[in-house]
Amino acid sequence: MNVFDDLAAAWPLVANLESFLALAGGITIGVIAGAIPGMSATMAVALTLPFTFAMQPITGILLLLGVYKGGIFGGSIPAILIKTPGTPASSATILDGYPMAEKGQAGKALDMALYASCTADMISNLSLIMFAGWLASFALSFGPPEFFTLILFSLTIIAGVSGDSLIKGLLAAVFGLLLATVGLDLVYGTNRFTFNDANLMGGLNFIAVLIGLFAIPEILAYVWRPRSDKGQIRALGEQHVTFAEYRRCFRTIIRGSFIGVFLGSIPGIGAAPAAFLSYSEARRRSPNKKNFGKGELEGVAASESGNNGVAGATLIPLLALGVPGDVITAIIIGAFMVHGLQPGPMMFVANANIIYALFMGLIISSVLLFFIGGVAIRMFRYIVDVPKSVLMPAVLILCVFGVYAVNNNVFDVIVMFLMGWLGYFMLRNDIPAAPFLIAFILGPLLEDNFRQAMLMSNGAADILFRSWITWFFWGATFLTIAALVRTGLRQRSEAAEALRATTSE
Amino acid sequence: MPGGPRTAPFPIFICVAQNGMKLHSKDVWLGAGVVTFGVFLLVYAIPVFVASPSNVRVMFLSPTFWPDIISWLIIVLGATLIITRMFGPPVVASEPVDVSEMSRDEINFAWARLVAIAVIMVGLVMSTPILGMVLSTALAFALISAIVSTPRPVTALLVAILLPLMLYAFFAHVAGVSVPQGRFLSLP
Repeated sequence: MNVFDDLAAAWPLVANLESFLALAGGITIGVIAGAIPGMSATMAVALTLPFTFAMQPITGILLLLGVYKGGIFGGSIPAILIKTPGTPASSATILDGYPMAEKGQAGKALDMALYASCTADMISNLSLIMFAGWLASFALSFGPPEFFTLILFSLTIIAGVSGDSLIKGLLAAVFGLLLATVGLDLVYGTNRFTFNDANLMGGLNFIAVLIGLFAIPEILAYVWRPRSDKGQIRALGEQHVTFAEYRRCFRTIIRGSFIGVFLGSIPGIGAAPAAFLSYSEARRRSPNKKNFGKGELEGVAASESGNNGVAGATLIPLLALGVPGDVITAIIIGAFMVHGLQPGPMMFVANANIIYALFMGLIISSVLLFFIGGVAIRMFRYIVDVPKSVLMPAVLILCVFGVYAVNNNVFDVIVMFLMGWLGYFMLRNDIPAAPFLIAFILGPLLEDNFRQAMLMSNGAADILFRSWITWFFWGATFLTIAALVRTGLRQRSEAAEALRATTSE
Repeated sequence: MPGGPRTAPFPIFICVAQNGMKLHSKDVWLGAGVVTFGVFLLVYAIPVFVASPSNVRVMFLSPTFWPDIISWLIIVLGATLIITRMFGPPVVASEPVDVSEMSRDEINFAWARLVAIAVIMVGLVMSTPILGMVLSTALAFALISAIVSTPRPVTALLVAILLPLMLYAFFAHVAGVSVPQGRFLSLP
């Protein structure tokens, strides 16, 4: 089948009311969750996942992608109106968005956030469509040694960029790998940490682990200190973005979008660094650089295009290589698996219609985001009014029903609660949860490919260096570790200097 | 950032520098715990809880190989955490820590609330086969709302009743999930 045949086969999958409603519903849920401080796009995707079990694969995945995209944009609304980022990705939006709101230009800042988000989202989706297929066709030649080195490289990046402390990020990743060993051995079928409990023989349920790690700790954190994060909501004002202003910021939006696409396509970097890099580049090149931080429209355009440019691009490694680009796509990988699909190069061969249907759905999602985002901006006052003392118990109940529904098993609920307490312990000790989850997902793939390679070579380790691809990934892994260590050492010496300066004062 | 508490979770382990940095002495304890756990894995847990056939020809293919590697990584990273915190400069906290932000009483109440929610979680799991998931979760909702002293008790009560019913309707009738019914309440 050629591309046109695949497109023709994909069209009926996405051109129906069910898919359209799933996308619209997903974006609405995402925008609302992103707009509520304390909720996050990650939590929203995790909580929506169990509701997709009863859906067709494409409908369920479109729903989750809608939540993802809506969540990234939704975070900008409280960032501008109440100086509280709804998601970490929208932290950079505060820098100029809130000063604009203070000047009575909140409507203008939110309009620009929406336009920049939709433009960047569209560019990101088009990049996905252009590059994912090419990368997948290249990856078709990968064998177990190549995949092993690729996953190792991905793990290094993910562990390294996920927190303030490199060591804690790596520790989290290693514990994720350990948890992934629970269950029957992949080669010999013997028990590993199952304690002869039948519930553990298939390994720990992925959804119970991820909901436990990302939703329950937020509830426990709220119970520790119940308080409202609701700040003073700024009025939208009468000013809106004109076409001339959009045109003035267009270059910044395009630059930010490509920064987002580039960083998003590298596993593990995520939306927040892309937003900050886009913002600093815009400030460096702008003729209005003195206004940055004081309410510059271009600043809002830069940060929002940076973070939304990531949203489609993170799907490039997911779809083409089967490696999640960030923690949300790690959850979406779970949705593929629940529906019996394995993302990766083979999916472009075996399920090309689903891939193309997803591409079409993503393009539609950019348009839907424009309309739903516009409504959400005006409804924010009501969205933020949801009391947390009702919201948090409601999240807990959603978690319980959702996790139980995976296997009709209360054991999964117990696993979720235990993971929740572990996640809370990690939260309080500044240990990032994202490397833990991603390592938990990639762990079996890493081990499986390693052992397959060893089976192929009868135990000779030189198979892991058999091609230029493996050498490339070994080199990239080595360079990443060296760069991370160097950055860590530099940060430490800077901290020491700062401490010395303070003590001498 | 999650809106979680960063304030004096383990007050006795935290020293606060005047400039708002926290000296991660608790990280030393964390590292020690991690190293101990790694040693426990190598010495006890892997030999006892990971079964390996006696006829494994290649070391790399042994079911214990991967857990062994992970255990060593845990030990190395735990030791690195201890060394960097003991001999390196203090690490800048992700958020400024102010132990005076919560009074002793507030901290005690916060711990009490955490213990209470742990009890609620255990109760929810144990009561589900008896009361059913709808009743158990409704009760859990109401109790959590009470623990956090919700300013909107009527709304909380309404949601506590309606949300589990709506979720039951979705999962039982749309998703085809067999939601536990319990002995006292049988829903259609």
